[in-house]
Amino acid sequence: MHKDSGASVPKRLLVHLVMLTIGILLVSFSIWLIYLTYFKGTHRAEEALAKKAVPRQEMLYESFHGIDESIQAGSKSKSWCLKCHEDLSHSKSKEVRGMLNAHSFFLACEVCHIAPKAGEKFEYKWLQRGSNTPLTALKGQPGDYGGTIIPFRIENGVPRRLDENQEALQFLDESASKDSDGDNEKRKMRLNTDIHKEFSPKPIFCDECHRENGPLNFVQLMYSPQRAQLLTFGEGANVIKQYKDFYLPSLMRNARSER
Amino acid sequence: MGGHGNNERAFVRLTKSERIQHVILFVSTGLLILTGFMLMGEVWAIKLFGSAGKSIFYWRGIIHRVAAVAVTAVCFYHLYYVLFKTDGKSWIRAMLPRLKDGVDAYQNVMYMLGKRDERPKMDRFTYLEKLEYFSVYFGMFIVISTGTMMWTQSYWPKFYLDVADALHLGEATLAALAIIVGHIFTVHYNPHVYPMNKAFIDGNISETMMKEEHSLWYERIIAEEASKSANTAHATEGGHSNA
Repeated sequence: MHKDSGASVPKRLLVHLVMLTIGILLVSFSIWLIYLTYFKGTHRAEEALAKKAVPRQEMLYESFHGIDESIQAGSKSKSWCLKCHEDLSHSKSKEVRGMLNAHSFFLACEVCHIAPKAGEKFEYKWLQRGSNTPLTALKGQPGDYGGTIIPFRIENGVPRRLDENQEALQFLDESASKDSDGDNEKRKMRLNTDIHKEFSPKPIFCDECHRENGPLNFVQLMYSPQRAQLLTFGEGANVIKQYKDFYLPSLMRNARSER
Repeated sequence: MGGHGNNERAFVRLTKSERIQHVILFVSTGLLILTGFMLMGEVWAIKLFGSAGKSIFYWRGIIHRVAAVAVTAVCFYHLYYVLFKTDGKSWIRAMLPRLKDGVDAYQNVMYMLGKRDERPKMDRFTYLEKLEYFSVYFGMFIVISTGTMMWTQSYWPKFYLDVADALHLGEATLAALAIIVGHIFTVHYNPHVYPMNKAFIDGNISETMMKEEHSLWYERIIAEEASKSANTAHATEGGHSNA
């Protein structure tokens, strides 16, 4: 019946061995597929939870927001605020600090930490990190376009940056090579007050920007229409609206307390 | 055809075009299964890649998309082939489901249960081959449409993408199992042809296999040949008598 019936015994054995190996591999793969479909996740709650957080194993290497690259880019070009406040300036709330710090790599601090007064007008522009050159297009991954969104307050028709204080910058450069003394401390305190008078430690909330007709016009900020839609109505924006108090991370709190 | 003497008469089972289409289909489908299910890989297995993991997964995505384009192209070509080419039209006519397929299925089950002495006489394509062929149409429609949605994800709302993702994975699992169990084992591990059915390489099927698995088709070809040679003989005789 078999074509190889006339073949030599070693050749027949080799064919059987190859076919047996292929067969075992294929059967194993089939069993794994059945396990994936019917068993994984139903009997192992922890793995199912992990699977929800990391829906694809590719996430081991590719972060959804490209955060890893943002962190590298951010640490290379500190904003003026980060000269004192460090790269990861949000540290108090464990639940949300990661998300806030991720934003601080492409948003100037004053976007959220301004105390706007009635009637004030702002204009937002992408500037290249470490320079005042405006970006002409958004290239790269979300969260890592090589620039920072900077707010400008329109004063008498002229846009003005809120974080510019040449004296403070000069002071920082000088104090790096100087021992602290009384005069220095007084000047530092005065400058500290000057710098922060425009700022509010309590930020505006996320949905003040992630909404329709918010202060940030995502299309004017050169996001694609689809990305702008996502930032306005998408998953992230909805989570922000739904979980104003960030109850979502309570999942993590429960997991911690159970341990 | 495997399993039988080399001096035996061979019949054409697959034309050159059909064999090329099949090769493109199985190579690209194999790559799609491999690179697709890598995404579902166990964490410990993925970590074995070590520092090369990022590059491997980068190329995984590229290969998956290239194979997807190849499989989509061959599907569209096949549609063109069965609609406009002579061999293709003959193929699809023979492949269309008929009432006899249901009868064949029932009689074959009876035969396998020992309630019937002989297998039913089957035509060019058996009921199982037809089922498998049209399953590929159905599966391709699902995976190509949902795959296209995921490739252009920025244009779709998340809900539709979640549905597309679930359908893509579900159909891919079904297709992979159907190919491994329903195709590779029944076509190549079949005792009649083991270790390999070479029709996908040389396009031929042996006379013995024709009699065993497609006896109705075989009888029709033989009858047509007999009728043709009788006509030729008749014409020759007529020619001689006229002369």
